[in-house]
Amino acid sequence: MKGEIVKKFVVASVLSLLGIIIITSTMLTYSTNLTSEISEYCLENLSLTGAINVVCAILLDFRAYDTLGEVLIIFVTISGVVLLAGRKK
Amino acid sequence: MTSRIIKTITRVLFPFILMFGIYIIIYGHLSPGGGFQGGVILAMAIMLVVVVYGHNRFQKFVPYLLFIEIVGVILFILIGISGIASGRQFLVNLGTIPLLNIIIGLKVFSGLILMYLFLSRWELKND
Repeated sequence: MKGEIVKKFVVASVLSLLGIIIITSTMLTYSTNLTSEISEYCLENLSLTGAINVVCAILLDFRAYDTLGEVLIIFVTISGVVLLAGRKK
Repeated sequence: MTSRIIKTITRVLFPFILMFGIYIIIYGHLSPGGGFQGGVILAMAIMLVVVVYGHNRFQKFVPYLLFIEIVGVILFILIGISGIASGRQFLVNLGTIPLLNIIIGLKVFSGLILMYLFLSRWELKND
């Protein structure tokens, strides 16, 4: 009985500590100024890309290497699924 | 399991979902959307039909979908190399954003359907 109470106390303290860490880090993140020169650069040079949609311009022009990586990730995933689950009996 | 209501509604809704996905892909550089989102919508349309009408009649499309998947990767890298061929860096923008959107959309479309078909067949086999 006593051990159970100690266990509950330990779990509650760990969870509350985790909550405090998450809340503090979130507040710190939102209090700092995140607008850097990169975002201003992307907005200023948007007309060079030929796209109106800023997200699309960043995905396929400024950060095209990231998109290449995502394409390769999907390809590798399909390869794994076909290799593991596509065996014919 | 699937009633007549679900079958009828699927048959009516299917072309509109396809049209919406294609719109999202083609207008990706002008309005919110893009290749990934439109590809997922297209794949969802096919998945709806697979869930309602069974996956047996779709197994014959698997080689074509694999072909689209592989050709998509190769085309993406070739468009990147075309930037080098024009005398600038790899994957430089030569007005190719709509083309890349279409390629990514086809790739995501075929990839999601392939994953779903293979995993559902595997599940059925292991029952």
